[in-house]
Parts: sequence; structure tokens; C-alpha cells
Amino acid sequence: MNNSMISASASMNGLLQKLDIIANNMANQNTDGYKRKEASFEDLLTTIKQQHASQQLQGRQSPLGITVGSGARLSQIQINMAQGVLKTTENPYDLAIEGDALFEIGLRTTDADGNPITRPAWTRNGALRVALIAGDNQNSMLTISDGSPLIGTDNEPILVPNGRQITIDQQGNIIATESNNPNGASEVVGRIKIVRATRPQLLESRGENLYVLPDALSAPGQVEQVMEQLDLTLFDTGSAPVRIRQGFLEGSNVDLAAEMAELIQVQRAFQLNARAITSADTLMNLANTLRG
Amino acid sequence: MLRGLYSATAGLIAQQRKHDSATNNITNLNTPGFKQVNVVTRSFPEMLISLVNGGPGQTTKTIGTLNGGVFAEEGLDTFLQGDIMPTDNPTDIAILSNIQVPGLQFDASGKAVNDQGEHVFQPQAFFTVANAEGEERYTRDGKFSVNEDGEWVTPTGNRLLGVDGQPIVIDSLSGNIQISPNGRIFDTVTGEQVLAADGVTPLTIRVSVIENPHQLIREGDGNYRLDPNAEPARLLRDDDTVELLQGYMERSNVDSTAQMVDMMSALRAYEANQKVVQFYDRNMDKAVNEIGRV
Repeated sequence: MNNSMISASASMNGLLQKLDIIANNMANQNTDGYKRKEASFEDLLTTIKQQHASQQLQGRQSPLGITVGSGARLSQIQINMAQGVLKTTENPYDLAIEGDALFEIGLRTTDADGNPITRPAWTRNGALRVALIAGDNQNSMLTISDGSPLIGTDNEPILVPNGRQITIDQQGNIIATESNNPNGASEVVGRIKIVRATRPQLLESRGENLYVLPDALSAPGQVEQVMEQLDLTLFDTGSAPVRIRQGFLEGSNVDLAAEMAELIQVQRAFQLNARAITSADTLMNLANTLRG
Repeated sequence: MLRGLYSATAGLIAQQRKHDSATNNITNLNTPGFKQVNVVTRSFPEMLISLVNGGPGQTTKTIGTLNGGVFAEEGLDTFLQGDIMPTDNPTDIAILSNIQVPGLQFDASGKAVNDQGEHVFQPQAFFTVANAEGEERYTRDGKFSVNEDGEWVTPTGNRLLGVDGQPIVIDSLSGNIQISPNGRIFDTVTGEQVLAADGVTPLTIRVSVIENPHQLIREGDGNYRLDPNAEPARLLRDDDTVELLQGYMERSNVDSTAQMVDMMSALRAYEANQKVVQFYDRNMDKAVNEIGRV
């Protein structure tokens, strides 16, 4: 049996998948709020060929039996939640989170029966828009680019009064001031809900920079356990502060140099495996031509 | 009887095994915590060859000894430290293990000779995980993630154990986790050690030290189990030079150049054995078809 060929081809498969992930990271190096994905490998099942007790000879270092590995596979894809660089945009509706936390979005989607539902989703991309509400001349809604509303601490979409200037402080309070009147009354109209993923590995990437929880974990009680709501007044100081920055956007945390280094490594590993297959093929050829 | 034909065949099988092992090492070039395997070959036991029926009146005459072939005896793991690479992931932990034993000077491959002239191997530190059946396994792959129950698991779902033998579960945390070099888990905001589910025991990662790492049997998925006849694993002591690094992972320690050379030499040795088989075949061809032809 030609084990070399099997293990090399299994591992080439995994390397190709890793190449896809690297390509995706590189493609998203200018996507605001994008978090790079990392692939890791694990060695495949090892079989133990039993050896007879008479093979326990003097000088042997290991227990009886010889182990034969069968290559490697891609075992998991992790999202790297490291902070991206903050870019100034001077746009009051651009928000960035400094620290380990996420915005919550009410994502409109349909359930299994096709009925419209709203399910929570999370993002680091704070490029907000002001959307008019049909039939309401007083207020507008803060949404992300696809129109899904930003959620406040009361678990409702955040409404802001029309014709007011909006400032958002570090703790996520939305303050509306009368435009053209610096001395005018200002009031807090809402507070942005900020959550921290206590088990970030459970988050699934949904595209459009959104993360969702798998359906099995979407029951109301479970969501709060995995996505802990933060009270930002308590996170202002300390070793890992969480703050909201108005007028900034968070760039992607992809480091092109690091991705290139990974790419080279994957390519060389792929080449080595290809060589192993060629070599295993030569072995088979030699066996075939034993009786030349 | 053509003894050499069987020796060459044994050589073919042994070289194939060496080739398989080198390939497996190459395929695991990117596997965190992987330790490269080197196949050790051994010659068949020596036989004494004597001449029988040398001639009338002659006693049996000894010719000499002969080894009837070769076999792949064992696959020895090289437990050298792999390179440490930053990952920025708080649940990635790398073990830096360089345990010294008084009176022994380990060489670069982790081997030493003691007073009795025996080979001794450097003890190695491992994470202790529990598999689905609850049995203890050892691994150097420190890429953990937190599952829905709050347990720290390896990609295959084995749970990381604490010093009390229970899986590590972190329920409440006011900041981030911080892991000290000796495996204690701290809260970055309160600065205090995180407590286990019972609210009393402080959480510490169970790092097991295996005195003779060659007694470990590889199981795949980065796991090892200890041979039941071997000396049991012990807990990490304060004087062991072992360090846990949070946010780092240990890369595979496979030396791709050496493995490539091993693979090529196995291939050529296979070819040489194949040639020997062919020579014997030609000998037999002559014996059967040409000798005695008139």
C-alpha cells in the first residue's frame, strides 16, 4: 500500500483550502471592519501497526507497535479579532470601536417558513446612515449600509430626531443638539448597545461584515450568555478599555506582509507535497518493474 | 536458497516505511505542535552460517554470521522545541519546555548518557486534555477555542484540563484572560486568579511532564497517550524550566530540508534493493533456463 501518496494528497487538499483563506484575507485588506481569518492544521489519524512481542529487542526506545500517520487536514478556521487601525473620516456618522467589542444590528431575514423575522447580528463596521422612516416626520433611524437598524441598549432600533446635530460620546451615548444653535438644548436620545463575544469562536461570518450565531445558539437566553452586553462607563479605564470613536472607521486588520509570508509558506509546502507524490510514484514504478 | 533475495525484499519494505514517514512529516509542516518522526531500522537477528556436508570425513565448518534482512523497528518522535509564532489570539498557548535533570547534560536532540551508560531522554511538558471518553491525552497543540459550554477545547473537541483534573470552564470574567507562565489564569481587570465553577479553586492549566517522552504513543489529531506500563505523568513543578506563552503557538518542528533528503535517500535505497532483486532474478533465470542446456 502506498501510504505516502495518500498522505501527501490529503494534505494538498488542506493546503488549497488555506490558500483560499489567504486570498480572501488579501482581497479584504481595504474592507472596513474586516477581521482576518486564520486556518490551522492537525495531523490525521495515526494507525498503529501491531508488532509481535519478539520484536521488543534490547535497545528499543518506544513501546511495541509502529505508528503510521496519514497526512494533515485543515482543522479549524478562526477569526482573528485583533484591533484594526482607526482612520479619520470626519463624518459624524462613522463610528469605530476601540477595544474588544461589537455593535449589534437587527438583521431582517426570513425564517424556515419564509416569514420575515429580525435576528441579531454583530459587526465592527460602524459606517452608519440615517434612514427616513415612512410615516414619521419627526425621527430617522440609524442603520448600516444595507438598511438594517443599529440596536440601542433598550434592544430597539435607535431613532434620532430630524434636523438635529448628532454627537456620540466615547460611552456610546447619542446626543442630539439643535443645529445652528450652539447654546441650544441638547438631549441624550439613546445609547448604542455594545457587546463582547465571550466565545468568539462561535461567531459565524455572514458576509457584508456581519457575524451571526449559529441557529442552535439563537435561543433568547443563550444569546445573552455568549454575547455579553457591556456597560461602557465601566470600561473607560483599565488594561483593556472599550471606547467608541466618532468620526473614525476601523480599517481591516489584514497585514499584507504577513499574508504574503503565509502564502509563500503554503506554496512551498504544496510543492514539497507534490514532490512527495512524484517520489511515491517512482517507488510504485520501481515495484512494477521488479520483473523488468 | 537465495538468502539475499529475501534480504533485499525486506529492504524494500523498510525503505517504503521510511519514505511514508518522511512524507507524513512533510505533510505536517504546518501542523501546530507537531513533532517529527524518524523511523529507526534494525537488522534481522544474526544467523550463524555453517557448511554442511563439506566432503567425506570433514566436520561441519563455520562460515560466519549473516543478517537475514532489515525491518523498520520503531518510529521515534523528535521532541525538539518548535518555533514560537505570535497569533494574537488570547486562547492560543505555546509551551516552551526545556526541563533539566540534575547531573545530566542533554544534547541538542534531547538525549544524554547517565552514569550507568544508558541513554536518557529529556522530560517534556504537555497540555493535558480529556477526550470524548474522558481519558487523559497529551498534546503540544495549544490552539484552543471556547465551546458553547465555556470549555476550552482543541479543534477535535478534547477538553483542556486544570490541575484538579476537571475541564477548564470560565464563567464570569470582568476583563480579558491572562495566562501566567506557570499556567495560572488571571482576570486582566481585577488582577485576581479566575475561580473554577465551584467558586473556590483557582484555575490553573494542568501541564503534565512525561519523564521519558518516547513512552508516548501517537494517536493522531496532535494527541499522544502514555503507554500503560510507563512511569505516570507528573504535574509541573516550580523548578521545571517550562513556560506557557499566551497568544503564541508552537509551530511544527519538521525540518523540511532533512525530510526531503530522507525521502530521496529512501527512494534511492529502494531502487538499489530493487536492482538486487533483479540480479537474483537473472541468476535464477540462468540457473533454470541455461544451465544444463545442451
